[in-house]
Amino acid sequence: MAIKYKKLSKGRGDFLRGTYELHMGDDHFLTVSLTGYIEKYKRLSFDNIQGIIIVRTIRGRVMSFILAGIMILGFLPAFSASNLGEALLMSIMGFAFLIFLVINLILGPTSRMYVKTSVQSEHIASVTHLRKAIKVANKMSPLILAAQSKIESAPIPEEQATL
Amino acid sequence: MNKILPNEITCPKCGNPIIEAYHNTHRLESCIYCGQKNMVFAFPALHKSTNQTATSNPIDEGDAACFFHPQKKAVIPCETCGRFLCGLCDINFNGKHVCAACLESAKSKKKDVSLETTRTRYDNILISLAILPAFFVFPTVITGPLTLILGIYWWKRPRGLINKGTFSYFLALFLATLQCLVWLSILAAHFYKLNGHKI
Repeated sequence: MAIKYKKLSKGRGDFLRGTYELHMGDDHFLTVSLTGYIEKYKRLSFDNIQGIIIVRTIRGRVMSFILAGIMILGFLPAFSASNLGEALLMSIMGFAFLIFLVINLILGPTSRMYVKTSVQSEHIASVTHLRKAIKVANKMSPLILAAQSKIESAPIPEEQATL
Repeated sequence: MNKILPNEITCPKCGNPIIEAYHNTHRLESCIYCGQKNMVFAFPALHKSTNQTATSNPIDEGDAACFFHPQKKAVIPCETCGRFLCGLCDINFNGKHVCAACLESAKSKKKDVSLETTRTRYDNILISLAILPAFFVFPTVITGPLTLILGIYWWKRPRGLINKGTFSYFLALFLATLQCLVWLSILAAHFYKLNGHKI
């Protein structure tokens, strides 16, 4: 019988190397990564997830600086134009990068998201922005907590409790 | 790569444990070791008692033995092959108790979708084959019919688990048919001209 999945996120990853997706099943999350013509799947059972870690990264800020730099370079030829029409035509590249910069600023700070189990820490490549990551984690948390409601907790180690 | 500690959440940057006070605060907290800003959602499985692992008891006289470990007491039969299994050999898979051999067999025969870890996206291959050579025009003499043949040959192969790619599959076939028709009409016009007719 086919398992029904609900899409949580879709993205191109940190360096646009492929397409990544995160889906939610009945008792597990499914990560899908498509690089080239092969689609790879990883399943993370709700029972086994110990934590979700969201790490803030500087990639967004770096990208903003790069885009702003290219945008300024794109606008430079317009200063040598003799009339307004020519100036607008010569600054097309600048306007294009201005749009990319605005989109990048609207998307907000970037992050990396990890799902931790006792044996692995799985990077969720489909989530690259902090706001989206928090939204996805908030969607995942109730399901994980519901699945783990019957788990017997071990006493917290003394060393860890005092920290 | 950082070592995975079974009962601790570690900072992905420095690998040191993130203190418990920073769990589930719903805001970014700086790692006390490296200063990296992290947000942690911790779940009960983090403190799962390690003594909850599967155990198996030694066999007593008159007890059924595990098929794989004859010195261990069987606790459950495999729901697929019926072999008796001890606590160690019993795998709870999708609510069924199965042995490792049946699980491996199901995986290799692709009997269960939930065991699949990779799939080939034939629709992506076909769409690339239909579109990319079209930029150079002449290769479509070969790739057009090839796309059609492969499209028919792969028709019953399983598509992506989530994205079936039906639209791109049909688009590729449509483009390939179009390319074949264009080349056939050029060929027909050429033969027509060779026979002394005027177009």
